[in-house]
Amino acid sequence: MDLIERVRRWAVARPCVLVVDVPGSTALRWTVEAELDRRGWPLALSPAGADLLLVVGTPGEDLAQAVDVVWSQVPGPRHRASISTGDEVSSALDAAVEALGEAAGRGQPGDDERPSPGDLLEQRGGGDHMAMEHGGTDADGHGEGVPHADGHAMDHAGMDHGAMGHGGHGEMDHSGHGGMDVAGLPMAGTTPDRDGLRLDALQVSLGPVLAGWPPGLLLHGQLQGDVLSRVRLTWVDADTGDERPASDSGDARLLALDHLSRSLEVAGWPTAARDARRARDRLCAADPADVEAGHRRAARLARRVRRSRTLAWSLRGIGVVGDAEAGPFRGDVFDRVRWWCELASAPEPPADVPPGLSLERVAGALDGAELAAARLVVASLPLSHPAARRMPLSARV
Amino acid sequence: MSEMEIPVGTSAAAWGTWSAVLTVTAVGLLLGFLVAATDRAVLTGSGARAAVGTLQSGTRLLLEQRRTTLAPDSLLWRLGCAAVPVLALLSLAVVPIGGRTLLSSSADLVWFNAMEAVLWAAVWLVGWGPNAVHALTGGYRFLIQGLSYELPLMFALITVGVGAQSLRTTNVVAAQADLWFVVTMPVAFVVFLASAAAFAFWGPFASPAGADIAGGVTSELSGVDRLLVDAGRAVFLGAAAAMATALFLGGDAGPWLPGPLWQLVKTVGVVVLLVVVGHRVPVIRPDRFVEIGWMVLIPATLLQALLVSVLVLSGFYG
Repeated sequence: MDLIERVRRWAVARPCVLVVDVPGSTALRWTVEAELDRRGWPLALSPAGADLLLVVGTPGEDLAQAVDVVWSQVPGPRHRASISTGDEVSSALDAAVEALGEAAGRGQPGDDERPSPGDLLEQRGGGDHMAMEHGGTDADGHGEGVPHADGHAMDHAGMDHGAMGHGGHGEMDHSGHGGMDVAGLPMAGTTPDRDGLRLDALQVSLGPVLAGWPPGLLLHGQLQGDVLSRVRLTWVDADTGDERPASDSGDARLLALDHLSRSLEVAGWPTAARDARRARDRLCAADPADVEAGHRRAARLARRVRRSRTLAWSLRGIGVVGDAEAGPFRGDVFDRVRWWCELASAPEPPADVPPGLSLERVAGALDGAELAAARLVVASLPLSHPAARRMPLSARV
Repeated sequence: MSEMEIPVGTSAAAWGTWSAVLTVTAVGLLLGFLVAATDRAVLTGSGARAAVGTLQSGTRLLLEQRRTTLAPDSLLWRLGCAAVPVLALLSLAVVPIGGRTLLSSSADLVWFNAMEAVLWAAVWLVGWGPNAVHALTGGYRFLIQGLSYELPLMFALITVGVGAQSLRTTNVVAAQADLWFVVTMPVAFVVFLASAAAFAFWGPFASPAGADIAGGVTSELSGVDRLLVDAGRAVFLGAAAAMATALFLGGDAGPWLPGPLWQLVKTVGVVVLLVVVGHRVPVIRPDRFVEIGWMVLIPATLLQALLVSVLVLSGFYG
């Protein structure tokens, strides 16, 4: 009996962590990622693979609702924790793994205690609206029905839609809703795709909780096969939370390494992404010897990435941004990765980084892109964040 | 030629069916563990701790809740998950363990290839089952990848069969008594290992379970289902490494040490080589890999087969 409980606790001692980063908490996320790397806790790619849901920063209202939906999809034993300051990272993770051990030691709730996935759907108002947005994060106000995750009341495993961009179920073609329903969701209708074929069109939302995804970004679009169209990008909580400080202060080399680690993660090169995170962590340090080591590491990584023929061959020709306005971000994804490499390995921190691209521009580049290409484009481009954009506005007032 | 015809009984006949099946299963699980631990060690840079970590994750998944999704195709989904490790173990049935295979027929290499071909259906069902975008995308990616590696893999296996003039694995091992096949068939060897990574959708061929689609076919899996699929992939990779040892590296042949130990050493070597090299390369996107598969690998493996055929006709293999 005691032995079983101990085995259960041992099994979750190195949990898979799903990190939710809040816009404006970049530096805090770096600290958290460094600590997770140090402990060897793997990062989960989806709620299904997570044991620990870690919210980094203080989410706004919409993001908090999205986090609730994500939490409802995490299988037990599970724990949810949030971190809001850099000093408490280590102790918060200790407390989290302790609490997870408690939950695991108690054993898991049986399947009969779990409401069916359809329940969340009904609470959301069901029916036709569901075809559009399952994230609980959209501005159309479907969010009210999302139950709040207080304790165990909220155990909807496996809601398939949503904040993670899973299975946005298709909306009927605009001809109407007369077609077949499956589990309360209308079947996907067909529309012509980019090659002129009539293919099933699914309405999907990607974000805001995805690996290697800019914090707080939401992508709405139509998916045919794995080709995106009618792409619209928005920030969650864009109309609130204007006190949030502009996140990206400090050394541009750190930002470059952050973009590199994100792009490399999405490009499927986890060891290189880990090196980027380590270099970033060292560069952040106070000790000059550490900073020097971080710089060497960054230079080594930059050489490795620039020389990789496989990477070049994989990323060439994707997400081309043509016009001169884009500045150093002109070209394809590989050009941008190389530019980030150059910036990351610069001996002195550059004076300034060019401003990010507007969401409309990026959305334009995503139209007609495959899912994989879209993810690479988003990871490789800096986006202008509302917090940064609003700063002059609030300064004027 | 004479030593090729040595009749070798199956392990089922020699040790009894059940003990032979149990041995193959145990060897398969150990191979899978070896692959998973090596993979983890390279990924996290944690060294020996990775072995404990692998056991820990396995236990964790055993204790975790299974989740479901909205309107899933449960039957086919669970069937697909269970099929992945079963097929991996079945493919191991024609790999010699202690000099004997569990099954032995005149078409061992075809059996190995067939298990891997049925895996197409299994992985596709794992992607199809949960009724979710990312999982389905992963399933499609696996099929596209399959279109690129399947023919080169078949030609690589055929090359071995031609060289040994038999499709029976034990005969292939015996045919390498004088010279390992890797010497005359380097292209087939490399293609075989790359294909192994591709059908286990691992390393540079992991895009069906890629980070860009939230884990793809594995994105909706938890608990036992995730354990089955992940373990199945690892066992497949381990089985392929053991098969590569038998087909190209002389199997259990070697001086001083007993045969099974040689086979183990070679298999571990192939696994380490595969994992270390595999993680030095980023994921190759399936749509670009099609180009290499058809324009480079198929001609290359055909030339390899031609070369070996000429060598056979000239009596090179004795």
